[in-house]
Amino acid sequence: MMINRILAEFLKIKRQPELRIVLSVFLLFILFIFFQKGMNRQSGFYSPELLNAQYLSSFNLLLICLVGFIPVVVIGSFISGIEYKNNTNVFTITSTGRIYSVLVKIITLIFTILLLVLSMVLLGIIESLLIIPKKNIYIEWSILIPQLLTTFLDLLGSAFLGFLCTVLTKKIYGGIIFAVILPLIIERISFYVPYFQYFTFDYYSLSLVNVSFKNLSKDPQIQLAVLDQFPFGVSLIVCLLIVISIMLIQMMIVMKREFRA
Amino acid sequence: MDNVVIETNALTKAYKNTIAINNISLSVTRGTVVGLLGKNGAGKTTLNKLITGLIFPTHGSIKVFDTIPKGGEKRLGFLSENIALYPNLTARENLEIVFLQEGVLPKREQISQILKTVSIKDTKKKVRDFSLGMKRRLQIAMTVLANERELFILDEPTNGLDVDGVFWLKELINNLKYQGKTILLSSHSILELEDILTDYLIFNKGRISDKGRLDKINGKVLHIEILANDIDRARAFLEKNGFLFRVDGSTMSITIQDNYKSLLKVLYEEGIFPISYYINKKSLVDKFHQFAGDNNDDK
Repeated sequence: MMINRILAEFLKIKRQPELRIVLSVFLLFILFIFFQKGMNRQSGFYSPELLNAQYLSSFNLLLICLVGFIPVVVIGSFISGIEYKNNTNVFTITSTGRIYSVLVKIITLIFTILLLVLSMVLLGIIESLLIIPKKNIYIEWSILIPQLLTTFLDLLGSAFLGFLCTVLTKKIYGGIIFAVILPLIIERISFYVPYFQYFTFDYYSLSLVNVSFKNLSKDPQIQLAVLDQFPFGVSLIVCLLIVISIMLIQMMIVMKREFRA
Repeated sequence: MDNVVIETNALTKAYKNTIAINNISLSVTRGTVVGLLGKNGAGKTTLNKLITGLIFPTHGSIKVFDTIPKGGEKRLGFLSENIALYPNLTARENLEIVFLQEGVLPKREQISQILKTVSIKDTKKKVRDFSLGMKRRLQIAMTVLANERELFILDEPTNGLDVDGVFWLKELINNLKYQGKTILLSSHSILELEDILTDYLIFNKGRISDKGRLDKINGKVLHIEILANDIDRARAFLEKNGFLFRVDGSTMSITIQDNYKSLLKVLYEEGIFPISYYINKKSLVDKFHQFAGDNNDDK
């Protein structure tokens, strides 16, 4: 049963203090922003008139798109690197096989990101009820579904980057550092060679964000970047292709790699 | 052929500057307990990794249960030389992972029973706080007890185990042996495990220098203690006459096929007078000293 194998992956990273700290800080940040926006009249960001369930869900999704990079890179690195850290690759590969072991990890990561994205919507609904408790919850799915897809793909790309960098370096922290530095290097290269940006994941994911989060443009705190926007479908397919490519590279590395016992 | 569990043909594994396994052809039959013996860097662990599919051969072929090993062989259990556990989890959680990874939801009683078998009582303690011996016991439990396997590769299973632990391990291996399981056992501690083996393979510099069944080891060994001044002369004499022997301080252990008295007589005639002597049946240790060579290069 696949669900049991996913449970095994969650169990492996259950008591990692570093992971707990990063995720707690991230959750506190999300709640802090909500507090400033919906509760704290002196914050300068206080704008409760905007904050219905639909808006808060979109806002949380956008927030996680922008600040979720590090947490999901850390999650990806831990899921991938826990075996390297504990020398348990030997045990995983001999019992489940090369492809299967990496496939289970990838599915676990996809499942985790999906949970994270959906929890942001749930958090948005709870937050809206905190502001006006008896308000009817109304969500326009035609707006929310593209946003869910955008956030999911954006975070999955980052998580896979962390996963891949850890597979390459065989170290959790090496993978995290590499995954954090790589986008900065790509950004620098794009600055000097503008055409390079058309080959980057960030370019298309940003395009997705611009198209799908238009409903937040009235918010004085949000300013969407101005860039050559591709149609939603094109950006979505390109992002998906990049994510699938990263996944295939991960699988190929694990297929070919020799492991020490 | 159905009885053959592992079969290699001209198996070779080369790294940049070393040939770890050099042209090895062997077959391991079902129900045997095979001891892989050899000094550090002789090729034992490399062979284990090839069997489990953790590494790939450079030349030649290897088949385990008639398929090329790539990992994921459900009938094979592998205990690695190094500790491979999840240190932030408890022993129970480590065992749960073994079951979950196989897609099975673990039963609490089943895990309790395994923990009892390996004498781990404190189930709330994290594995990182375990002694080396307890970690090893848990790892053995995860490999041997948590799942039904047919073939076990145990690489240095006695590492970290105390005397009680070694006895416990021997009992465990004996039980597996009676169940008809096949076991490949690498160990530096030959003396500790000799009595549970049915077969042996001695490695020397990546090659198999000797192999066979333990009950077929013939011959006797004459151990003589001589004066330090006589050692060089005795060595020269034994070499000249084609004797197999080893020197350990002032003791020489000489493999003999016939009556030891005739050899002692010849030594007297040569002016070499043993201070004391004793004789015993040739053992795996003698085979090891004879065939394992003197390479000591750790890889």
